[in-house]
Amino acid sequence: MSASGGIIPAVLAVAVLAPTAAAALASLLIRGGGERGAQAAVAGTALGTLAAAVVLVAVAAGDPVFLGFGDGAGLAAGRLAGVLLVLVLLVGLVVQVFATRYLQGDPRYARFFVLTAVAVSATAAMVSAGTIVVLAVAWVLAGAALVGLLAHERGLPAARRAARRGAAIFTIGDGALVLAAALIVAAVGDLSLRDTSAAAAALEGREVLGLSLPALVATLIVIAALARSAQVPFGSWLPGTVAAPTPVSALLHAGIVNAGGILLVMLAPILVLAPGAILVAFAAGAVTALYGTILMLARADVKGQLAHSTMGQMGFMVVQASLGALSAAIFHLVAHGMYKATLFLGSGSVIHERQRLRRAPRAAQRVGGAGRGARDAAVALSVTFALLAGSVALIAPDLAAQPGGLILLAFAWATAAQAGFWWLRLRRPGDAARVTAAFALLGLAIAAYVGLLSAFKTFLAPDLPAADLSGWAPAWLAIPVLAVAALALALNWIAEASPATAARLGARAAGARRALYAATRRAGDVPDTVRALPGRLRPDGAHPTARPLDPTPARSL
Amino acid sequence: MTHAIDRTPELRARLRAEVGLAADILVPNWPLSSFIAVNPLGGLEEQGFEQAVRVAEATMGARGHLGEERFRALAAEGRVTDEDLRRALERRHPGALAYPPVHAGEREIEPADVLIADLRHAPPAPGPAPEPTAAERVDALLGTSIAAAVDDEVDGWCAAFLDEGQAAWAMPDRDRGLYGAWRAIGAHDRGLRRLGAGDLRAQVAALPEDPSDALAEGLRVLGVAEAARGAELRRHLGRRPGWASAIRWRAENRPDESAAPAGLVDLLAVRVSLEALLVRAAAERAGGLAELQRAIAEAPAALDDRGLEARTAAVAAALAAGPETRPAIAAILEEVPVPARPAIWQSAYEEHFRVPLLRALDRPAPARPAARPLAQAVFCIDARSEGLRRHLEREGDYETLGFAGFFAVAMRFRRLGSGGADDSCPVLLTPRNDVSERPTDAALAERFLDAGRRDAARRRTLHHVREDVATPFAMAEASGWVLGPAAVAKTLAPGAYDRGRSALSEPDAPTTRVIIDRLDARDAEDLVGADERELVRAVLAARLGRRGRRASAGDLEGLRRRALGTEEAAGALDGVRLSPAAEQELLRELRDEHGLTAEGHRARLQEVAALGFSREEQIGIAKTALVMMGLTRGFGRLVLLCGHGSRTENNPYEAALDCGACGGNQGGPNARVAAAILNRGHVRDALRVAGIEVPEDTFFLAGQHDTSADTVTIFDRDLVPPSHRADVERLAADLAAAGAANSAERLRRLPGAPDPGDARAAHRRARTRGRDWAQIRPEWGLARNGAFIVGGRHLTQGLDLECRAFLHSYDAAVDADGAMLETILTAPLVVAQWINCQYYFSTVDPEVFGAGNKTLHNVVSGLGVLRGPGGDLRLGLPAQGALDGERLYHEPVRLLAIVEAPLARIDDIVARNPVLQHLFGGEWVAITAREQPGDPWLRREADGTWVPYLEEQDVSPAAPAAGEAGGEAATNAMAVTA
Repeated sequence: MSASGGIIPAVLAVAVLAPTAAAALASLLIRGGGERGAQAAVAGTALGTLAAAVVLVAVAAGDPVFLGFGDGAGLAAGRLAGVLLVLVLLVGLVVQVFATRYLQGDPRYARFFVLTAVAVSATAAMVSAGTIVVLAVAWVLAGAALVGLLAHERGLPAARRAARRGAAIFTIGDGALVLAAALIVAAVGDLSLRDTSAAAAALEGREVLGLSLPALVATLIVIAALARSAQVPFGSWLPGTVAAPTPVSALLHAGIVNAGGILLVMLAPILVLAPGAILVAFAAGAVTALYGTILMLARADVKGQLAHSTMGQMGFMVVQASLGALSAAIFHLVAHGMYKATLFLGSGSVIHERQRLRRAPRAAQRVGGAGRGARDAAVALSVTFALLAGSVALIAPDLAAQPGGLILLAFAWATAAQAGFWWLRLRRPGDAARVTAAFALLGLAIAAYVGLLSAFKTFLAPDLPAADLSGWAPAWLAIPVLAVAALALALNWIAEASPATAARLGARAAGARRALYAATRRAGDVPDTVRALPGRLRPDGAHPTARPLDPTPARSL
Repeated sequence: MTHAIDRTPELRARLRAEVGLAADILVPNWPLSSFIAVNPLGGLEEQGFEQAVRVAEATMGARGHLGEERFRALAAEGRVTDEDLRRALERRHPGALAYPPVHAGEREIEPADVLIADLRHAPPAPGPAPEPTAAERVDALLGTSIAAAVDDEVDGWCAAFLDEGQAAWAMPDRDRGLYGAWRAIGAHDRGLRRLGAGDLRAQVAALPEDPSDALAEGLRVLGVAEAARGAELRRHLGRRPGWASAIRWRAENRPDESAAPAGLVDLLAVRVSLEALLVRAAAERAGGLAELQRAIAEAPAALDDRGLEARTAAVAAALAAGPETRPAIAAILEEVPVPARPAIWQSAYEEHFRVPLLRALDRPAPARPAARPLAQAVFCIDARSEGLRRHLEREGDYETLGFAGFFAVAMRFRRLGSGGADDSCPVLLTPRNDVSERPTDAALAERFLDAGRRDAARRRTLHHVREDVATPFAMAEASGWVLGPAAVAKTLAPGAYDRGRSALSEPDAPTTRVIIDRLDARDAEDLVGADERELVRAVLAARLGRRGRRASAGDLEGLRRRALGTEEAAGALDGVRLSPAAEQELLRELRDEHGLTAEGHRARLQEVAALGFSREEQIGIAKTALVMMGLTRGFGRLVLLCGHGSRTENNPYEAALDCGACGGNQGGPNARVAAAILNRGHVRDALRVAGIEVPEDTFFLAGQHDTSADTVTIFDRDLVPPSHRADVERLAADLAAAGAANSAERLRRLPGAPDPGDARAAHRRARTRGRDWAQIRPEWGLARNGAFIVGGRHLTQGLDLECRAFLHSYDAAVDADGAMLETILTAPLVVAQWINCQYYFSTVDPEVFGAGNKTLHNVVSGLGVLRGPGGDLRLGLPAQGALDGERLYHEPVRLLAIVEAPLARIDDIVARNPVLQHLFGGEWVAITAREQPGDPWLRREADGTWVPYLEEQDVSPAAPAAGEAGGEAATNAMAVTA
């Protein structure tokens, strides 16, 4: 064993192991699990969270820490791992504390806490893996714990199906990662991840069975990442997971589904050896960003909306990573994790929110017709552009120059413009002072966003490979994505400002609209029965008696 | 069509009538935002409880009783005793008990023991086995999954069609109705291939245009004979009772809905048409349709295997009786067929609750105190009020009463400035009066309203940013940093988070008055005119910007009149200059886009005319309320009218915890209106004429009980005269103390909430529980309700009824003609029965009648929840509202009405009201009564005779004295039932 950095390596071990250790001890020592077992598990996760925070502070102030055997088999944490550890443990803690009350009375109460603890520990181990083998083991373990959680509601066929589908797709993805690790071990032995650039250099130029080892490994890593992050063509496991209790969804969407992005960022120096693999990742991410988001729009159920939204968001994260905007991808997955966990945990308030809006004081009627709509759009676009450009120039001039930076800023602009446009539409028009105040506030938000993004970049810089590595997907590839996004925004605004125009457009393409709607809504469905008619029917008369009917197979009472 | 004989309209009408009949297995399902408790089998009410349950089993596969395994487990716990079973057998099967004893060697075994052994040891009664539909028969024959696949398909379309704006991308063509939209889209839907029957687009496009024609055609293809159509349609509705009930609600409550008109014929047309397409496709591969139809018709039904032999053997073994006894045992068992057993268990289970309750109520009336009470406090009949009333009475000399929480005020209530109004009254009534709030300080109110508008605009804006293709990414990146820390705080420290949030962000609502008087024509004109001028101002500002804001009041009025057509000449405007063309364009926009026309003006005047109550209506409300609750003399200085509501967080079912008598809304506004009416001078004068002397110094006060926090908010404190301020202070303090004591009591019953031992800490903890977003069960609601007690408080005072009884005050002496009792039995009792049945069925079958496990809930279409990713819309209450984990918390007992009133009066009322004949005769509700304290409690049998409820040995020789001693006795008696 070797360790560097005083007591901090031990703290790192606590951060990774405390949740599982506490949950395991509780389930062994406390008969029947129950509430005391849950409290013990929560205490373990709380301890782990504290330890993760200490690790983050320590690595921010000093050097990376390491705990393990000489060649790297063990845990290592730099700034990147420090940030991710805090995210994973904090999400785990919130989810577990939430569940102590939310799952009260659940027959599998104790099991939930054990499995969430394992999932948190495994994910923590994954982000602080010292070698590729540790990474692969932790990765597989996290997936297995998740599959167990997906099957939480065993009486519900949809839950069993979701677990099976998750297991099947994880088998592909995890198999790819395990194979990649095996190829590496066979070629160069276990690969230390403490310095990934050096690791990449060790792989460069090697061949396996006449194929380039880096290309093979990179492709397998991309497959693993796409499967875990629910990207096309592996996305189908995600929507069905809402058959698990709400806290499982929160953990999954904040702490597990984003592991694909983490993998891409951690192993980026290896990936850039194989530009083809990066292009695959980019294409899958770009398609999924649009696919998931568009599917979300047609969902009428809140958890379906959130799940598809995650799919799209993970696509965006993969796009960021494959364009080389590594710190931005981490920024995205951290912020999105907090965002989505909150929305899932609070998904019971949809009805209340709707009532609240219904009972809100009446706003003045929207007046002014299409002309005013065009004016609002122009104001929103120009003012937010100025605000964003100003913020970037003042706070982070280098942001635009980083790989993928312009793409990020284009999306930020669209978002700010959307907010500005709707604010202009929804607030009573005419009061210049009030509008100015609102845009000033929007400007502050934009500045905070730019500042935070840039601070993230600066903070993570020592841990991330140099930005000017060649091999990233070229930014111009993102233009079609931007074009679709801009088109959607334009249609949205036209429908608001001039419903008559929108109706005319809709009527002109009624058939296409119906076909598109049907395909979109259907793609987001998670049906119980896939086919009404199997390929081959049972021969007539083979089973003359009616089989017993069981319309409600699962009863929990 | 110009055929000489076109039978189409007639056939369509007949089919529609059949659908209407089939729909009696459903009741309308209200959206969750105004959750209304319903009896899920209310449509079958006339058939009686047992028959209704059988229909539900056959059509929905639902369970109507707890089930024999569960009952036997309860018997093992002592919750159902042999004594209870014996009592139930005596009531239900006296014939079987009249058999001679069975001779087993030396022993004589009573028939009752034979039947009890059968109940406890025979093979349990099988679960429900619905009749298969045509598609289910095909599935059974060919191994296809047509029925399940059609359920899946139609679930998705129902969610999209009924969506009230939760999806950003609405389903197109909804104005064509569900069937029309489905057909229009299906003609372009390549995804139908997934069903395995090839590309169905052309076949969908070729379906008949009219849904009834499509339904008839589909049934024909499925080979459903005319005589079997009704049953087939029922089974179709029974496979998806959730969506069907939501559609039924929409059809009945929003008949004018043109954006998405829904009806059950549409739903059935979609289902049956799709099934027919799939069956046809299956038939093509399996020897032709005619052949398949024949095979379907011949498919034998499942065998009945409830053998008498097995029962006899089980009973003989349980009684250790030899084989020679079997014929005698079998003869007795034959009197009680297996399907009759759950009803016996149910009766026995109910007796175990009812007998101790009636025993506790069987006591002489306590002497009425002569002194004037500190105050009267009138609470809702809601079972949760019982706890607070009991604790308030301990705090001081308060007289408490129970009355339906809308306080006889049926209204549409609009909060200050609100964009929507709520029907705040029982759903049995349709409100004809609107009430809104008027601020006392217009400027302060405008600031408050503007903050509200800003908040709403912010929420809507964020909604649009989240729901778009381009914008959710940066949105998540920016807002995660705000939401994340908030989520940590409210999970780890919900109490502190709530205190911090309310201190920071909730602006104090301005003081308002409820407008209870009608406007005269002039005021109405003024009010509407002001709104219209405001509109003109906004349009001008939008068109002309800064220039438009210079318009004077005269300009606005002039433009308004021109738009309405009441002023022709284009006079000059002083503030703004408009070219004639610009003015014409402005007037066009005002008329066409904003409805500023003479017609619109009349409609707005009409709307305003519904505001408030006429003087006669006010007097009527006052008189009805006071007489019905028996409060006609002995008024205290204060009379508190206390509505209720429940504040909970992150809870789709929050409206289910609000006041059922106010249509699933909070009851405070009704209390305010009722108090304002009762404080009116002209109302007091009219009451005096009617013989109700309300003293000069009696002041009516309105309040609202938050049932999750056990706090009482007192409204309109600024209206309290100085002479009464001290009384109000004292009442508020006593209510707070009573609330704390009630919280401590409630926490003991809530899982995961250890009693902190100190009432104030308990009060805090209860409040936190209601405001904790992680709390799955903020309060128990009306769980464990089981009785409806009509009479004076002397009946129940001092007894701890554990919040299990609805308490309606009534004094037979002041209701000479029985009109008030008739209202109580036909309105509040009926609502209480809905609530009781909602809890009953949600408990006995949480998967069909109940919403199931709340942790899986997924709010859909803005109106309900799904379990997980899809499936049927869930009905009823979540499992967490009735169960504690696997254990029953709610006891599914049917309602027992306990009335203190002349029996003849009750008989008259029942004779006049078919609804009561169905409820009492059909065993939905049992009724017991006595004329006066001291009389025995009598049970009304189905044939209208009254028989003593408690047998001699039940009546304790020395009835406990009134007061605390009696309370303890009752507590002990009821603790047995717990």
